[in-house]
Amino acid sequence: MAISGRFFFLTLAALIPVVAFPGLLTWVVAVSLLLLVLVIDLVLAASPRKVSLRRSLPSGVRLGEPATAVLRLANNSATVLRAQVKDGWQPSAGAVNALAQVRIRAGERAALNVELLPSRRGDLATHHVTIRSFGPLGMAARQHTIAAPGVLRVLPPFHSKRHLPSKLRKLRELDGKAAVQIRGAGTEFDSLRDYVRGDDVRSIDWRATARRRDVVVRTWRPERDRRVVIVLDTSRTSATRIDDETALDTGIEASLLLAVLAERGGDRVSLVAYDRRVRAKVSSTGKGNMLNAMVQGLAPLEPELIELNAQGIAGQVRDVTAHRALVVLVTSLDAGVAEEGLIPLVTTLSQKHVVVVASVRDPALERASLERSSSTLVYRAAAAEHALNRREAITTYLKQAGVEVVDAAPAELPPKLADLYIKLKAAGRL
Amino acid sequence: MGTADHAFVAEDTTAAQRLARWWHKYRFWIIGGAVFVVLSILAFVMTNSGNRSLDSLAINNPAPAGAQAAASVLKDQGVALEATTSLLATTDALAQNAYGSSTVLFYDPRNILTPAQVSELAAAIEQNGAKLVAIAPGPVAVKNLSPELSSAGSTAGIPRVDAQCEHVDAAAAGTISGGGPDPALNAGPAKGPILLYKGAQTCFTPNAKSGPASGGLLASNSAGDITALGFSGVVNNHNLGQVGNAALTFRLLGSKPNLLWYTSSLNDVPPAQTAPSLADLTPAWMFPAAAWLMLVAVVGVLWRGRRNGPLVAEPLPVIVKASETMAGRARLYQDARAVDIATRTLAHASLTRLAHALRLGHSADPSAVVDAVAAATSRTNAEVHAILLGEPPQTEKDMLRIAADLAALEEEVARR
Repeated sequence: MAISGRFFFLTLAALIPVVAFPGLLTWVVAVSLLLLVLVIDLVLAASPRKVSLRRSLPSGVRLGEPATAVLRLANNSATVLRAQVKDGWQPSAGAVNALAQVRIRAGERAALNVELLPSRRGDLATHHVTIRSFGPLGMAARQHTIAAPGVLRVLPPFHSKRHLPSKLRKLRELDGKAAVQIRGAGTEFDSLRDYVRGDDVRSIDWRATARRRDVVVRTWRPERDRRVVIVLDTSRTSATRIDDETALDTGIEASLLLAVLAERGGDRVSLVAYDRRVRAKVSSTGKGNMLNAMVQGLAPLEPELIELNAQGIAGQVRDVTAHRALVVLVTSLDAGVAEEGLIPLVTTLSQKHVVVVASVRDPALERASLERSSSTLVYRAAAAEHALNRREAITTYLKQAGVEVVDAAPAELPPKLADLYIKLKAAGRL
Repeated sequence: MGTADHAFVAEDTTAAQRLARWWHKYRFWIIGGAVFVVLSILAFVMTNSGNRSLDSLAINNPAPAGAQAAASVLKDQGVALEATTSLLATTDALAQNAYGSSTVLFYDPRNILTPAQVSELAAAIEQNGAKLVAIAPGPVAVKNLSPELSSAGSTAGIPRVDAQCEHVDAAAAGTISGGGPDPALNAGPAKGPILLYKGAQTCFTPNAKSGPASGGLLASNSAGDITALGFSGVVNNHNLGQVGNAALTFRLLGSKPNLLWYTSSLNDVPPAQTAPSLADLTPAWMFPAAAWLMLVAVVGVLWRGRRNGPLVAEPLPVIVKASETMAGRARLYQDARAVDIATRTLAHASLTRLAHALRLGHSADPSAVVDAVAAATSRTNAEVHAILLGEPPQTEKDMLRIAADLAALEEEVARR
């Protein structure tokens, strides 16, 4: 049960007779009239228990874009339902009009559009709908909460999409769509064709020329159908916030850009999100929209506060492919964590695969190392230099082990990782 | 749009089940609240039961300062005891009793009665042939009770005092407590002044050498119907059993069949003298209006306080600022004043960057870097060596200087 503001003001108005006609009788009459109003309104209100609800939710919405959740109410009682309906979305779902007024005649239905503007990636939930059904006087209401769970999946925003056209252009230049005969632009034999003036003499195929009595050149194209395995670290180090974004979110952006690029480049992409167990696994070997499957799989990922099981990653890569592949580890290069787990893992992996380690670098470290105007700031600069130094040492060690390292600020990590992929593809190292 | 085509309805429960669930949810608060209310009521009832008083010399006060002992003994001996709290009630009771059959105990510790009222009391005594025993009356009051009596100041009190006079009751009592500290007894509640009087008969003079002229604890007029007793402790529960206190008390108060135990109260204050209370100054409609507004406030609380359904929790992920380890290390350096380590770290980082900038490779010898830097800038070899590979500083001031020099050196090389 609940009372309305109207009832409050009615009670306030009753002050006039109480003051004008002092005495016990006035009090008794005033209080019993108010109680009568309450009882009448409660009895005449439609029962909120006799409302049935249906939800229809969008299957997914990208972070930062609005969505509409439709709530359909059916009034199964014999009286008119005048109600306040509150949809219990969690605050980060950003329900603009969670509290709505409805008037539904007996046996009829109505639809409520709840506008949502999610402010967080992941699965956002609503658990219940509360209906406050007022009587005809609008003084008192019967209230009931109906359990009506619903989930809205908010997908990663994929801001790095804007880099995609330029990277694809670069890829297409490699892909023989632009005329290239230099071996550096690909390692896979494409075709033989007649020599035209201007072609590189080094690409002349003399054996074929001898057979044809005409000068013939070979053309090359980048290799296709190679494996790209992206391993996304969701362990405790991915919970660090760098430039208003967690390391995990940056990793997701970089993974998405790389996956889309590699798929357009004709390679087969697999993605594994892993800490001590597999959190998400998506492969382009299956039919369907790879990007959609990936964003759906990556959306509910949260940093887990556990240590990364580095030994397990090798097994995961073996599970995905038995062949040589480009293994991209999106993880952190923090001292300590890297020395214990990452370095032994990467040295093992690099014996069979091409390994790339992608890590988010904190721009605050570089900024801090340059500020030296007070003793406190100098100590800070020294600590920053110490951290950068340790990071540099790990990077150098990894490079010596034949591993490619991409260490960049959050905004630059996705394009730099894409550039590295194009470079490796061009060099035929996949 | 993906549609979850499933209808949600309210749980199909009966009112009894809902009530059971409600009871299960709130029973702790309901039972706890009920126990609290019951205990409060019980405590209130118990403190007010038994009709006990806390006033000194009240006949229903069993505390040391009360006079329940004297009153109950007198009652047992057949004295009709009546307690009054106002002058009007006392004079009325006097008039109802037969002539010459009453004793009045008059106790006015706060001096509430005006001299006129005291005179009125004395007149009523005389008119009814009654006997008055005034306990510790003030100097003005005693004068108004009987012109033969007068105040003789006060005394600090002595342990015991002898009668030393002809007064029959006093002589029978012999010795009474004098209000002073007595090592043999534990000190009784001798609150208030111990007053001395002079009269036609003056007894219990604490200052025996100067005689009755210096005043005594007990004085009465020549007719013997007005008696003033200067020490209230003679009558109270604590001291009644000591020496001759009981004898004096019962002889004074129990000589007539009726005893009026008159203790003054605010009822004796004439109405015109009381200041108007707040209730007299506020208009008549104020109280009902305020009470109704309180009801309105309760309604307002119920209106605004009802929530639209249960609270919804937001699962918050753990997010840690990445530079926190760096900040923590910096604070550790500062707390330890690790000037040398900080400077060495900065110099090492600069050396690495300079080697890179001058294309000397990662494994270049520090002295080679110093040579290259000196060649690239206008500084001398020794100067560059002092900055990059010099002695570790001892103070923060030196550290600041070296840090600035290192930054300047890197800038010069980069500008080259």
